[in-house]
Amino acid sequence: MEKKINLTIGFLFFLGGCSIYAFARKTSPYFISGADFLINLPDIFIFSFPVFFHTISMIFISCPFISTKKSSLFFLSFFWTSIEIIFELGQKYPKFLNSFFSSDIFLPLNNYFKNGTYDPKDIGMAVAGGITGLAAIILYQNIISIFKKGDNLCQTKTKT
Amino acid sequence: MSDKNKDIIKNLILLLIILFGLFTIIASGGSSSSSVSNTSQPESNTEEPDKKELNDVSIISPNDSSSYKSGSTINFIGAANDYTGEAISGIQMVWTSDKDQTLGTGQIVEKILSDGEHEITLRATDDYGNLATAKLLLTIEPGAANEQPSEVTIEEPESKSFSPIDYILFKGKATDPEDGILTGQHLTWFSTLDNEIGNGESFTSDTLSKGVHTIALIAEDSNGLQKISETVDITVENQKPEAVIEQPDDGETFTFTAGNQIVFQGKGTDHEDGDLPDSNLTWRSSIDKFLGKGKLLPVDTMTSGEHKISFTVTDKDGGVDTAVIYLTINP
Repeated sequence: MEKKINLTIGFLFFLGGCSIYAFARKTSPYFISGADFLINLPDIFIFSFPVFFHTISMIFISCPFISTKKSSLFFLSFFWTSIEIIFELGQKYPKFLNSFFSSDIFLPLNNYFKNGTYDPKDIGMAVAGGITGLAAIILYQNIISIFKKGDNLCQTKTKT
Repeated sequence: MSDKNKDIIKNLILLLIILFGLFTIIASGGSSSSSVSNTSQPESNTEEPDKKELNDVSIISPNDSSSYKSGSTINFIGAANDYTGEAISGIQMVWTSDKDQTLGTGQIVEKILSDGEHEITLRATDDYGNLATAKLLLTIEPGAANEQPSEVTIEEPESKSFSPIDYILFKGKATDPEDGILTGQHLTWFSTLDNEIGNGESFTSDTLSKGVHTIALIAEDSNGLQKISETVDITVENQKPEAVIEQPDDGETFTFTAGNQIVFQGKGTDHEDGDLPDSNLTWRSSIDKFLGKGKLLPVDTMTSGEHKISFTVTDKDGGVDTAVIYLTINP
């Protein structure tokens, strides 16, 4: 049940990010023409929140498949935050990365680094997403464990 | 299912999730880029004007869907500019064939391709990391090779500077082993700033853009095989503007009394910019220094004495001209 809830929360955040591309970013290739009802959102929401949503969603989606130890959760949060930051920094130094990804096999990745625009706000959003995702999962696990303890207490009382 | 199998499946799912996460980052096309395709259109983001801008690229030669005989040397000529209009060149322009892989780099590449159909791609990257590509299809037909034109020579102009009002003579010649002397549309003149500038053995032009042009003559035989001449660099310089003082007259004497003024009137004209605006017209006196700006400048008071009045006009490229008159102001 816990895993399903984690996955659901993860996919909801993922859909949140997708909805920005579909309904708010007019120049996105995924923008649905005529469905611009999020277009008046503040710029920071349109341009930087997808990173925030993506980091949280990936933490939640991958969480059910690793150990529930806090150290594992820290690693998970660190991993996804790092991935987001590496991809963002890659846009700042496209020429450096171009030497590694010059083959046509890497054309989409190459284009991502070359055509994407580095924005320090995105790094901030990745870090915020990582911290928020980690905090939310730990909080969520604590709440679940309290409920479980509560259930046990009730059961004990009934037995006696 | 055993615990071991469960672990394997769990790890596989985790790997898929990681790949999915990476894929979605790349598919987003960057934090604000609009496309990750490799079409012939410029690729860049257009969302925020203070960020990166487009560059453009085109293949000037050979023509799309051309056919060549096996063993023919093909001249690939391309042009690309960044968003400031500055030409992209050297290793920032990469030519590839889907069949023969990398053909070379630069605006001009000479290459013999293998037989068969080739999709040629010219990929240009500007200093801002923007990428643009252009593509064309070529067919190399097996059989005896058609020889490319020989002796393609530019006779005029020589490498030197020209004024924008000069008529520049372009004169060249080319011969082909099969077609003999090439003329008319078989000869194309190419400038790195203005691209195609004319055809034929000779012509004149006074419409070249300001700046340094690398001029090449491209000869094409009846089979579409091309050869390019040695290039010539010419510079079209900025033409200076002209300053004219219309009033007062040179040598005039003036006495200031209550309510009267001296009105300085002049104009600045430029070959490229036309009539220059007031902000580019400056009046100065040798005694009172800066008097003001504009075509019409009324002045209420000036120090008595003999003034050298300078009227300086400046065009948008920094070209300057100054007209001078002398005025005597009585006490």
